[in-house]
Amino acid sequence: MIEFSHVYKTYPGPVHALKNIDLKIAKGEFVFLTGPSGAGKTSLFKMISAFDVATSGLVQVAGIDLSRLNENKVAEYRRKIGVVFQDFRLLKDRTIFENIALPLQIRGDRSQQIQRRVQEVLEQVGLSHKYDQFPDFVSGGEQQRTAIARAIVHQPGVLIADEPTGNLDPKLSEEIMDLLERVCSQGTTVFVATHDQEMVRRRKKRRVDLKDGLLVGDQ
Amino acid sequence: MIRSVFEQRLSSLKQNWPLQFSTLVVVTSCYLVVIISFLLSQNLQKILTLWGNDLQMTVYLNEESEPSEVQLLQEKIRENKNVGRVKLITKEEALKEFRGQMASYAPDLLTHGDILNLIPASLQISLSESTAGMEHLKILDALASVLKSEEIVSEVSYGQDWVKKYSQLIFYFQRACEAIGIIILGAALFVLSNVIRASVQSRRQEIEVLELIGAMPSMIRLPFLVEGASIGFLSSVLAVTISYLMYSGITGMFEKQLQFLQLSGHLSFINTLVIIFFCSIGTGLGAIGSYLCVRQINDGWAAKSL
Ligand SMILES: Nc1ncnc2c1ncn2[C@@H]1O[C@H](COP(=O)(O)OP(=O)(O)OP(=O)(O)O)[C@@H](O)[C@H]1O
Ligand SMILES: [Mg+2]
Repeated sequence: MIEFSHVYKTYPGPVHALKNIDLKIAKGEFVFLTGPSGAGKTSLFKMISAFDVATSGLVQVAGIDLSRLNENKVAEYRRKIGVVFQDFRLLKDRTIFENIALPLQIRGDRSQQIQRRVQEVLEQVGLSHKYDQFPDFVSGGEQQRTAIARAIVHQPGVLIADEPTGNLDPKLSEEIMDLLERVCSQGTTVFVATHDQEMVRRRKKRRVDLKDGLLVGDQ
Repeated sequence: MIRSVFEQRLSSLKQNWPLQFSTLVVVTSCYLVVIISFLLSQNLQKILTLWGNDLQMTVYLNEESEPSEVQLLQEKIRENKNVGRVKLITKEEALKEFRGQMASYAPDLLTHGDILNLIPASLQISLSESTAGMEHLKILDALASVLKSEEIVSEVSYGQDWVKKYSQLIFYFQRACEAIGIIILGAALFVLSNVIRASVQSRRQEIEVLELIGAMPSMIRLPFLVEGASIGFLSSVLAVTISYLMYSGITGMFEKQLQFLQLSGHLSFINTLVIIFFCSIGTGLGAIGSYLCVRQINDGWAAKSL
């Protein structure tokens, strides 16, 4: 599903953020990405979400070579993936329902369909009762669940989450991780970057380690 | 019941209304200046045409010109297709007219016999109706230089000086208006573009999210283009309306206080076609202004703050 081969990323400076990354993640897998701050986790995710291209090497997701996409193709590609951030990225002037509905709306689904699917996802993340609230008026955990709901509402093949629990307390973090595992169990490939070594150890999933831009561990 | 993304985005743009309102005022003022300079130069041109049409040429003839020579010259002048009417005014006729005009001022003067010799015979030439004001002057200039070389012609006069000066003034005025118009439209474009830029910045979070979930770039940009075009359209309509009100006020003044100038019937507001043209330009400028700053969005803002 996700494939990196001989990928280098060099920022002006030069900063060698990623060096010779070779990585393969199969469909439906759940993988943690760990490493100290500055190791290159976000750089790697930027490539998967097509916000950046590799300086050299090949990045493929679902068979698509991400270096060859034009503006519109990038948009099209992003509709096939889901992205979750540490800081939620919700629109404050829209309700939770409207936030979650966005990916379906932009691809032009009919409102009945949208209604049905969003309700389904709201149930899945346990937010049915908060659908008409605005993001500023719900808890951090609820905001992150909304963000995850938005990232999975269009049933993407890949879900990437860059430190999705970075702003949450341990209990909420566990909840979010449980949710991500459930998403994975429904067939979505889930790739999660985190600092939280403790949690990674407990979860017993495949884990990829980055250090100074090098892939130093994969187990 | 679910609002479309487009509707949601337009309504989120509305939160910027204080900024949009002040832009509307500034852009309307810019457009107003452009319309007013257009109106002024159009109407000054009309007045020039009006006055130019009244121009006649008087060709004074030499004392010793023979009637046959005069006849020949008249025929020669008539060959010119721009000439409408040629009329000979003999010494006697000229004197009679002069007497009529002068009788009340200096009755004594007219008893002198030699005054007859001071007033020459002349040809009155007026141009045909079909020639327009500005060309008038050129035609008269050309005709004058031809006639001056005739032996029996002593002098040619057609009030060229003041018409020339007036037409030159209008020429420079129009060039100045064009320059001002271009500068002002440029300024309007700049203002519009900056407002949209501010609008884009204030909607940055929204744009990031839309980028992230794969909204087409056109969908992200369209509301800003609509915003720019709306400001442009509203401004041009407002500017046309305000300038029309000003125009009505001023022509009203020409009708009442300045009636002696006899201009009111000859002035006109810009016609419908020009109004439509102007509004399209005004609207287009708004759209272009916003396009200039939205074309570079959607190049990974979300990523930069990742
Ligand atoms: N746009 C950029 N321009 C220049 N250097 C950059 C840019 N983005 C990242 N870097 C550098 O690349 C390296 C990797 O950064 P990256 O953000 O991928 O690390 P990270 O593993 O996500 O760290 P953290 O855990 O703190 O989020 C760092 O040294 C960083 O300073
Ligand atoms: Mg990071």
